[in-house]
Amino acid sequence: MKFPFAFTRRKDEFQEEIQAHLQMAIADRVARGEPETSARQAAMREFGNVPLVQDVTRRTWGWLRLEYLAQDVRYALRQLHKSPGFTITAVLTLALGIGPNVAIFSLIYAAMLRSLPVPHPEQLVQLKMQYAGQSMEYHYNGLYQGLSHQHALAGLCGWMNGDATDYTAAQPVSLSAADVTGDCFATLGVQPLLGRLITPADDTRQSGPGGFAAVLSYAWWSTRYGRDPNVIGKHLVVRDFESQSHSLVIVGVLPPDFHGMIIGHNPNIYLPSYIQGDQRNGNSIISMLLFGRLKPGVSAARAQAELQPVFQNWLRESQVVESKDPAKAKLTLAPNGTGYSLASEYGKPLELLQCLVAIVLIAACFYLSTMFSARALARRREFAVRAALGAGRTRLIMQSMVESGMLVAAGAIAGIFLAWAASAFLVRFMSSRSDTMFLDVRPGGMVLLFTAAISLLALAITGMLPAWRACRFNALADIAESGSGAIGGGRSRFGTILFPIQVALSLLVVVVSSLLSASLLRVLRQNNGFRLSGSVYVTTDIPMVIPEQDKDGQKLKAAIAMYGDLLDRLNHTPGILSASADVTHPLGGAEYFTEPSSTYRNAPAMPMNLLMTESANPVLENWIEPRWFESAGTRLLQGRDFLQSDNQSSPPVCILSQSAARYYFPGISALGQTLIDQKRKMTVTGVVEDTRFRALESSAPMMVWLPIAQKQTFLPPVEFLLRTEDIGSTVAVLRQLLHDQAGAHVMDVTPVSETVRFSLTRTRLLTTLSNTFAALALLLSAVGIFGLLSYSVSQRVKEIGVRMALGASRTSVANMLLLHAARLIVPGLLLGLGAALAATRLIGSQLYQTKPLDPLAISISVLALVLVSAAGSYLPARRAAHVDPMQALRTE
Amino acid sequence: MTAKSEYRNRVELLQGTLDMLILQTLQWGPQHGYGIVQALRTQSGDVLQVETGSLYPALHRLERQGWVRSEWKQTESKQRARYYRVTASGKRQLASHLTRWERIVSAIGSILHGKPGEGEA
Repeated sequence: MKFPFAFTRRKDEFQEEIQAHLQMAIADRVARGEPETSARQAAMREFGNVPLVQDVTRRTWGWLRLEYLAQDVRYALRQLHKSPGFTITAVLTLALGIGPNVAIFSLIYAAMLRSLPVPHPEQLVQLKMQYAGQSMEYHYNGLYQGLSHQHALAGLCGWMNGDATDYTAAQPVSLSAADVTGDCFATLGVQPLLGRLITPADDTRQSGPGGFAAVLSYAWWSTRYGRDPNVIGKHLVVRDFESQSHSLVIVGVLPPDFHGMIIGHNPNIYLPSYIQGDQRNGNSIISMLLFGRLKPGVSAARAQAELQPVFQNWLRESQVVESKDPAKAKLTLAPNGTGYSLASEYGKPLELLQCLVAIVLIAACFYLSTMFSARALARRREFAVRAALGAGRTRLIMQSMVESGMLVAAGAIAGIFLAWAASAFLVRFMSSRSDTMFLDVRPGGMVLLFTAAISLLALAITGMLPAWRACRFNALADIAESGSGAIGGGRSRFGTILFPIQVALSLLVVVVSSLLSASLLRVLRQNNGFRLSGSVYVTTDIPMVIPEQDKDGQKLKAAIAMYGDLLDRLNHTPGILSASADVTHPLGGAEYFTEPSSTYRNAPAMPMNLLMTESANPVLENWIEPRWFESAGTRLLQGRDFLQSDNQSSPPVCILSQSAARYYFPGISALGQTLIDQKRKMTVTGVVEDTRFRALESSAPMMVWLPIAQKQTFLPPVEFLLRTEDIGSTVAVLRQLLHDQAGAHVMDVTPVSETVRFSLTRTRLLTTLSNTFAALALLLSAVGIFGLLSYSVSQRVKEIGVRMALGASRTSVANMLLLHAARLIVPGLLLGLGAALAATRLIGSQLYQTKPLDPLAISISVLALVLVSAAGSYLPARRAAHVDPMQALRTE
Repeated sequence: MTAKSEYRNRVELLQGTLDMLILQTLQWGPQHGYGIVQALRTQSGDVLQVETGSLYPALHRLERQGWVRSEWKQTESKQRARYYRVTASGKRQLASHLTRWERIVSAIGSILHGKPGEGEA
């Protein structure tokens, strides 16, 4: 620290220079015959104000402001140290105001704003097919190949996220995998931490001698392999989604900051795309994401224009449905510098939360501003004295701002740590056991910058008013004032403007949170068509049956028989209430679309790109075993459930959901009627209630339920659905059965309640957080009114004493105080209601069957604020009522 | 800060004038602050009383600009004092100051005494 030392030395030197000046002046006068004492006085007078000369001179050194700042900081520290209660309250309030803002921003930044850790991320573009102006989420597998012979892009990558199971060790381990085309890592410009990455030579039909090349993510290399540098060359055996076994050889490890292209989803392992077979020919729809890198200096628009003929050429040759009207089909390029972000899923909820926390922060700042002003008011004598001694107004304002600034800085630092913990917790909140959300929310440059910005905002709101107050004083009157407070409330008015605004902001937050809570309650209370808890899903690694490997249908037959046998045993196990199985489950399972017709009505008209868009009127099918409805808690309305006798040799049957029955057989009973699906005639044996299969917050789709035992080809992985009293022992039974009967393992055990929770993650995140923020806002209102009234009572002790001496009762004094409180709160409530009326329309899209002006939710919010304010007013009112008039008047 | 700026401006007769006077005084040899005050007073026939509140900021500013240099020396009466000495660039500065000053004086003089021809010379 050279600067302070040099500064001090220079100050000492100047002190000496002045002393020398005075000495010489005195010596001169003495030499001229003046007596020593008067010579000294005259010299001093001639010199003038020594400290002032020092100050003015030091200013030419350019360090004076810093010196002032250091003084102010020292002084502020002393002041804050003298009132620890005030300091702790202020820092805590600021931390609770700033922390959540930083936490939510960290999430937003990590989920949708952060650039990928690759060179020139702005050159990356997503390639998407558009048809009739609508962007398609998926595309045809031939498109990658069709676009690879082009020169508009510097590189092209196809990326599929998939699951695999690692069978290298005794106990299989689920892996989240990314299957990438050979050019991917070169296109991205990612460098390996160890070994090498996947190259075009790895991505071919034939794997190398040791198997397909595999690259590990840093996280997986750390957790699974303990960062073993000798991991390169290790062999793995994995089974893919279609139960195909592959041998792999580890060739490299990725750097720690690369978490894949799909934000929130950090794959454990990267494999060449050919591991899924040849995905490059034909026109079936696959979930391969396509992205590329623009050539340097080429705009996305120009590349898009250059790619159009290539795309149209592929479209013509591929003969996909869209090629019938090629004018409507288009290839679009969108920026991909952030990767495939979570914006569509979490953008709106996070933005809403960011607004809420911003409002809470502003309310907190208003509260603090009131508190700081009261403090400035209490110190007005000190300010007056300092001004009388020559302190400039700017200096006094600076002093006040420095004090606020230090509190804000301390609050911001505490807030960052709070945010760090909170955002990590929120990321866990957004994960389920089997579907981990991965977001890097450690505070980095951008987050710190944001913190600095909102801290400045907080400082502006909290510091301005007290600073203004610090410089508005009447020196004479304030010094003369005895300090015990004048009669009358002229000075206690400072809260009358800020506090109502604080109440209004708090009410707004509380209204939003109660609307969201009401919405979630409605979702949970409504009839969803199945029980939200009490059953458990168990997945196994029994291989699925694919037609290509089952020409004679024997594997399918064997599988069906085995499932029937397993379920029969489970249903005879004590403790298991009912056991069944299905190929897909409600809330997040795969969706199998179907287009049956009946003698009454043909297949519903569906848009041709149904799979890519949310169709308004889809029909879903699910293949199940007997007793599924019993296990899931779906009510059978008419007819019968599937039986074991509904099998390959018996006539095909189906069960319809209520809405499907009404749709296909309007006006008549569906029982015994015939539904036709691809020339297969099925008799309707039952009608069940509608189930909200896709999401609890959306309407129930029409459903056709079919028996697994009548499946003709292709059996996807089957999941067991068990209703049981004791999950642990039931799973143990199933584990043993699987081992004995099929040589298979239990992979995952998921209670239905867990599935429900996970499907509501977004809503629960919104509700839980907004409730927390509402509680914070309510707390701030309570302490706010408490502080204001306490201050008012302390200022008016004498007045209250006089009133009581003149005969006012304790009740009337307390009422006076409560009236004062009401005058502060009621305008705030009215203002808040107005704001809520205007603002809640904006959150309509986040609400389910709840109007933005739901009267119940709004009444509860107002009531909550009134109760909380009443609680905050109680103690000060009590203190006022217990003022002893004798004592109050004696202190005069 | 306003109060102090007023204080500072009050003695600065004309912007840069004090600087010029200090540099001129230092032409005759190194001098300390008190000496400069005395020199200015006697040379102006007791008309100019430079206040220390102007002198020292000016000296320190001149030093920062590199026009004067300072060192600690003993006076004849064994008093340790800080002596200021004009530098080469300070001398150049003084010369240009003087030229400007003379032009201003003659310009003002020509206005006051009504001799336009001389003003433009």
